[in-house]
Amino acid sequence: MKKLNLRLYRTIKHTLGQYIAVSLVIIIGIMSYVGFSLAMINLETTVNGYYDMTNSADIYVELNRIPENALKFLYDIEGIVDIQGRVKDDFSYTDKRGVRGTLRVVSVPEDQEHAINNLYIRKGSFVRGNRGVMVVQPYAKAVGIEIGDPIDIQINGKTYKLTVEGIVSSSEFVYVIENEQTLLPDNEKFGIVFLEESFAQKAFGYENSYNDLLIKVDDEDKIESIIDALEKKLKRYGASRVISYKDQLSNRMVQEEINQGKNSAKTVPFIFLIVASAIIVTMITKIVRNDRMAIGILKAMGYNNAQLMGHYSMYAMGIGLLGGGLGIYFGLKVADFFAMLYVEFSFDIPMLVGKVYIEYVIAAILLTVLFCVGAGLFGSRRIMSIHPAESMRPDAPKVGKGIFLEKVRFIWENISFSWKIVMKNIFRSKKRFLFLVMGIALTYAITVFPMYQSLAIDQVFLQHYSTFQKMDYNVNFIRPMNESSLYDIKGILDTSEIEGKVEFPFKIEHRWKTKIINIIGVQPDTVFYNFTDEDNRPLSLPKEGMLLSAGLARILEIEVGDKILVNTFVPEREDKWVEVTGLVKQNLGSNAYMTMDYMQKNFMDSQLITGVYLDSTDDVKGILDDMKHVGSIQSVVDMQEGFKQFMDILYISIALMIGFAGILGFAIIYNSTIISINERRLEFSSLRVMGFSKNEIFKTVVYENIIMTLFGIMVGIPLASWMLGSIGDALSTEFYSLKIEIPNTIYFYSGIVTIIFVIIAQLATYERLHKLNFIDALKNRIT
Amino acid sequence: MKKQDFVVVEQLKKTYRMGEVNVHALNDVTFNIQEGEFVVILGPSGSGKSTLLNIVGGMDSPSEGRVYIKGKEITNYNDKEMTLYRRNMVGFVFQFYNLMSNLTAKENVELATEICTDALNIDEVLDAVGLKERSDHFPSQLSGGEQQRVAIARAVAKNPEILLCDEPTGALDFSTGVTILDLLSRVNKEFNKTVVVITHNASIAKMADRVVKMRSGKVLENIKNDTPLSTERIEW
Repeated sequence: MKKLNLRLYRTIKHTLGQYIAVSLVIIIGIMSYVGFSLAMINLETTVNGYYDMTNSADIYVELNRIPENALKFLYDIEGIVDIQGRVKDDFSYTDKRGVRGTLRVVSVPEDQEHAINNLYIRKGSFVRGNRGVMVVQPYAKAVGIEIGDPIDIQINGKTYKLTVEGIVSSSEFVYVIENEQTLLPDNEKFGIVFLEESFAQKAFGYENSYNDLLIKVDDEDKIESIIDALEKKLKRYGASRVISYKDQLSNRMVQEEINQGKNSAKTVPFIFLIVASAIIVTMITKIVRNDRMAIGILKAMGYNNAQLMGHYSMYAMGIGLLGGGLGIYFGLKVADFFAMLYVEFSFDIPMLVGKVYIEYVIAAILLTVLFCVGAGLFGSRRIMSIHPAESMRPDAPKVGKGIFLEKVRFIWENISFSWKIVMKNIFRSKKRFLFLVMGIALTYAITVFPMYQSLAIDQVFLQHYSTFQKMDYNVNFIRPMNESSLYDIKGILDTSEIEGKVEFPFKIEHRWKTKIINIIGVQPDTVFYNFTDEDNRPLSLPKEGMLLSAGLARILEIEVGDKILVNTFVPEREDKWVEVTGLVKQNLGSNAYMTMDYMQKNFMDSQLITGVYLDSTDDVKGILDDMKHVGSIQSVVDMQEGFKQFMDILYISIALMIGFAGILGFAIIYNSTIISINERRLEFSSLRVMGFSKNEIFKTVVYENIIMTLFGIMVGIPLASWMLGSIGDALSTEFYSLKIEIPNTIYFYSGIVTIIFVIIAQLATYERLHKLNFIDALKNRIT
Repeated sequence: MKKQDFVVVEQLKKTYRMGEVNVHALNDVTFNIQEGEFVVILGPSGSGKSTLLNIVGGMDSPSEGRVYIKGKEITNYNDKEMTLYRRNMVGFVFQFYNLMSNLTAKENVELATEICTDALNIDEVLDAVGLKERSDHFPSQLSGGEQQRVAIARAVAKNPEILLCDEPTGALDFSTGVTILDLLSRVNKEFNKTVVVITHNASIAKMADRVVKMRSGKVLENIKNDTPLSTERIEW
């Protein structure tokens, strides 16, 4: 081994703690880059492959009823290559454990081989005949359904005794949620069952007709024009929703997840890499400064700048090799693990592509080289200006000046000598002070993030299901019913509050932007909604016009006072311009709200409602289950329970993130303190000669760090607040808004956590300070 | 310039800034050194002798004037040429040894020879300076005299044409200092190297072939000593 490299190796051994600390930061950075990137690209490939394999639909249509023989006329639309009709509906179901939930029945054609959205059989076989049913795997798993189990379902008042013949996965239900508002899957209470087509048609009263269509097209670019044509042609069949696969709920959630993962792969690793390179730059700058004379000697021997810069950059390169190598290794491992988690737990996909994309590994290597060697070269740049002869002369003493605090006499005269030393040290080494303060500020901000994340999700639910929506139950009818059905429910349930509602999908247009959303009509004095704007000012429903969720308004660039075109799918009703009178703070989902009267008068038939909201302590699901026209019953308590289970999983990832922040904080503070101790060996040695004990010297270091921690946290608060604002914007999607009010407790707890990290790092430096040979430091002029 | 002149220094001036002060280290310094001479540059602290040594060794550049080594002007060398000059022509010995603390004695010597084209056998050089048995020791495990012997071995092993020693006995006691001077004398005679020693100790001047006396950045005298004493006869 070259002697210069040997010297480097021994320097690394001597500074192993710092070396490992900064390598850990690189490991996390590279691991998260490789892990997130590969997991997301594999997930995307898997999902696309799964869609191809199951011949997934390009366009989804929901309508009232269309006769089988009317489908052939749709082929006139240029670009349509295949159409598959089906029957789809929700009904309440009590499983074998006695738990009531909602099942969605979807019919499937007999010819599965050529079917659109054909099913993947996990267990058992495809249904044949009238008495078989296939159940989607997440529900079967959650409820404990096996092949051969009986399932009794009630459709239109008649009980059908069916047997589970297959457990399946469907590319249409990769993410199994009931609707936009549910956000999280509740596999114990919501599932999909597939029935053979003719049997489903008969049971649901759709003989020779359908209420749902799946369409394949020959060119993706034609989808928008085909949708327009379909909307026109299908209006007479009561088409309520004609959407591209891109807007299909499950696909949208999957794509959101993939996009968020990709965004994380583009941001999280860089935070770690930037921090690591800042530490490396500081470490090498300080090493070069301390090695000034050694560098002069080496130059005197005939070593040139390139050799010496290479020597010091090798220190950083070593960190890169260690961090990058282990980061890539762990990244590949976690990529498989992440993708597997998605496929097994979040999504229902029967396959997983686990390919290693060498370009990401190469990119990881390049990133490591770029950040580490860049930091190494930047940190060692002073070598070029070190003149061998000058380096032999001791540095000229710094120009001594008083500090600002000395002028504040009532403070200066009342603090102890130790504190005076501390203050002078801080104010005379401004760069060191700034580096540590920024390091602590960053640690603080990163610690705030996972806390914010848990709170944000908590608040999103809390705000939505207890502040914004106040009902215990949200009951949806199978089809619009007369308002009198509200009294039927009132008659059999003991309700403290009950209101009818109209909820129906409409396409809204603003300039060139369109969106299909559910417009909800409620009583003008509704007790179940608390409409406020984003500044928490109360909003009231307009007699004419609508309120719109603020998140949706942002996407469609709508402002208060704008008029938007509401395209109705209801036959014989005209499209209408409606004024937006307010933007509603809605953290979950996006809707428009009108008074029921206004909605019935303009878009629906009067006196028709599509469901009710109610408060009751009765067994609402049990009692309403027998009512023919009741489709689904959403219980807020169920939602909250599902949410709590989800939070348990989330806590693991939050703990992991706090751990990462801890490593980052530790690396910054530990390295900075060690660098500071090394830099001040002569100063400490002189203090020892004067009679200071090791503990007294350690105390001054601690005092300095206390002040810097306080400053760091003070800088960290606005930094964290800015970061959270940006993250809130970045992570808010069409489905949910993470723009929340951040309580002061989060800042307080993050401060405590940061202080704990500082204390841990401080304890690690204590040993180092005690081992420092002060006499050696005084004698040795060279490292 | 005479043919046999190994080092020619002409009207050398050097001013540098230290903190807020301008230091006039050299003021019109001129002298010659011939090949194979043992030269002592004598002067009190602040007389400019270290600055002179640094310029002759290619570690520093003058504000004015020229330095020729074997007839080639080194004062107009660029950075690369200067590095090669230091690498192949010059060996330095410093007052405080300046060894790399995390390399052993032998590794310190190897550090210097690794970049040279015509280095001597390291073991032989360590043997010659009497450190064969302690070659695996780190500087902290060696006495001051031993450390200085490692520094001399490091300078000699490069097989340079000239050895420049900056107060090589300044940090050593008398007897160790004499041993080091004896070693330098042997290097001069046995390895046939031109040796330049700077010192403030007038006694050392007695062993030199040539003595250049300096004060306040100027050469006071350049004396050729035809009867140099052997190191055993030197006292201070």
